[in-house]
Parts: sequence; C-alpha cells; structure tokens
Amino acid sequence: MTHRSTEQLDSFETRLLTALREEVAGRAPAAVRHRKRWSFAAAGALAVAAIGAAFVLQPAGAYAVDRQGDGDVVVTIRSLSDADGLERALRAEGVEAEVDYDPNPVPVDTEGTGGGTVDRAEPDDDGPSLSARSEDGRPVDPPADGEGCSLAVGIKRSDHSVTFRISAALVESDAVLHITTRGAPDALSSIQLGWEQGSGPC
Amino acid sequence: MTTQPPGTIADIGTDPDAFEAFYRDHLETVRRFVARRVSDPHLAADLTADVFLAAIDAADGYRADRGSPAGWLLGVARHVVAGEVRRQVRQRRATSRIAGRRLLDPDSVTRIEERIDAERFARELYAALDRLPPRDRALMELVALDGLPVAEAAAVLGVKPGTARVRLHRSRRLVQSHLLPQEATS
Repeated sequence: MTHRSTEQLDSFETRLLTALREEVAGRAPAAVRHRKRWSFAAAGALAVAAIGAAFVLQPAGAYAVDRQGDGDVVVTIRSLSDADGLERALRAEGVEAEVDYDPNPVPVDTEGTGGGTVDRAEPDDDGPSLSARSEDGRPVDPPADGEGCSLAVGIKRSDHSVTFRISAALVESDAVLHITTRGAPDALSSIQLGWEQGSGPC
Repeated sequence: MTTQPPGTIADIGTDPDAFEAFYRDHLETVRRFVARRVSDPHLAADLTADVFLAAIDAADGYRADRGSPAGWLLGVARHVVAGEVRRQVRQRRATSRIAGRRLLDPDSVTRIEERIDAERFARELYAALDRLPPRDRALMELVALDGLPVAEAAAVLGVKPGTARVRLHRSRRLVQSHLLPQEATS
C-alpha cells in the first residue's frame, strides 16, 4: 500500500475525520464504554425499570453501594463516570452487573436486547413503574413484592443523584443486572435497569 | 501495508494524531470493503463511520503478533457489517455516536455511488457467500473479496493456514456452482 498521508479526502471523509478526531479526543481515560451490546440469552421475560428525565448530577463521589440490613443493596449514582468502579463495587456486594454510561443524550431505547424486549416506563411523581414483556412482546406480570420475585425497583431521583434498590432476591440470584444510562457525566438523560428473568430468581 | 508502526495502533483510541494517520492509511481499504457489501450510499457512509468507531473502541486489543493492522481492521469491519445486518432485521439504526450519512453532501454521495458501482461483481460474490457455513464464509470474504493473503486471513480468524486452505478449496467449489448455475448444469 502506498503512503496515504497525502490521501485526498472528499468533503464527507474530511468531516468524518474531524468527527472521529473529536471522538478520540473526548474519550475519557477511564474508557467510556459505548454501545456495549446487551446479551439477554435467556428467552424468558426481561424486566426493566427506567426513568427518562434530564437533570443535573452532582460531580462529587460518582456512586455509592450500600448493603442494607434486609439484604437489599441500595445504589446511588451521582455522576455518570467510572462505570468499571461501580461494577466492582456491586460485585463486592454479590451483584454481577454491566454498567454502560453512554454520553449520547438520546433516551435509552430497545437496541440490542436480543431475546427480550425492553419496555420503558414514563417517569412520574411516584417514580417509574416496573414492566416486563416476554420475548414475543406480550406484557407479562411484573414481579410482585413478597413473592420472592421482588427484584430491583424504585428508581428515585433527588436533586443531584439517582437511587435504586436491588432486592436481596436479585442479589442472591445469578442474574446479571444491566444498568444503562444516557447523558453526559453530570447530566443524566435517562437510566434503565434490566436483567434476565430466566436466570434470575423468578 | 501501512505507514504506521504497528505499535501505534494501540494509540488510535486516545491520540487524535495517531488516529488520523491510521484513518488516512486505511480509508481506501474501508471504502472498498464497504462498497463490496452494501449498495446504498447512505448506509455505506454510516458503516464507514461505524468501522472506524469500532476500531477506536477495539484499539487496545490489537496484537501485532496476530496479524497486520489492515487484517485486524478488516476483522473489525466484518463484525460491524454483520452487526448491521442483524440491526436491519430488527430495524434498528440511529444509535451510532457518529451518523455517517449526516456528513454526506451530493458530491460525496456520487463518489460513493461510483465506488459501489465499480464493486457490483464483488457484491454478487458477497451475496453468493450466503450459502456457506459462517466460519467458511468469513474466510472467503477476507481472501476472495478483500484480497487478504490466506495466511493473514487465517490469523485474523484464528485458524491454521492449512485448515484455511482446505476450507477455501471447498468454499470456492460451492460458490462457483452458485454463481454459475446455468453453466454448472449444462
């Protein structure tokens, strides 16, 4: 191959180069983890809770993971940074998780969910509801409290953070929790929690 | 094959200048790779962006002892195009960080269309590869479609060169009989 440093780029290729250079320059040292493909191998229902409203997060202390007396684990996210750190902190509490902080401000959609279908709940004053659909799109009953099937629910937001509770049942199961957000590190646009029920406690 | 020392590939994910050198070195490879596989210029623009984005993401996984940067990039590009086919099935798009088609102008579209037209026979071959089992298909794509030496294609796919040659021999017969069905039966 010849030397291509003088490769003639057309206008599209020049604009693409500019955009890609910006992409490289904007990559955080902690390796921003984009477009990580979810792999919901189980054919069972996929339960998802999501919230989709923009608000400003607080930069100090990216996250907190606290085990409660009843075995639940409470997660607080204050900044959409250090996804690896949050995964490690969750693992230390017995929760396998895939955390994906996508700076794209477009709300989380249903991309790449494989066998399951994500259903996104609209936020309201009481927080989002939990919804679930089977692989063929049929709504199925969401896991109910008190039936050993209470998983992770109650995404709550304060002025500068977002909090959710992972139930002891989910902590003890083999399910992998998927935490996906959209928005810049200090400006959460949406957050979505998902897990495979086939491998979970339900 | 490239003007870039192999050691700098790991830097393309973090150093814009290293990335630009890589981009200029391999743009022609990606242009032709895409034109051999899709016939829509807008999709070609998207895929060109996606291939380089995927290379940026995967850069720190590059190992010089497993093949050339060009071979590695073709391996990355294969995954991107295969992913696009799966996405089309589910009508999923518009989630890439850089939407290539938004950077297009009429002149660029014309240039891509010319490239796509020039590669029409290669696309016919690409379609014919559908008949092959996935592992054989990957090999045929890299060797017959993209012109990678057999040994390098084998390295990209993690198989021994001898195994690759046997598979290629078998694949060529299958594909030929598909591409030339009239002659094959006359």
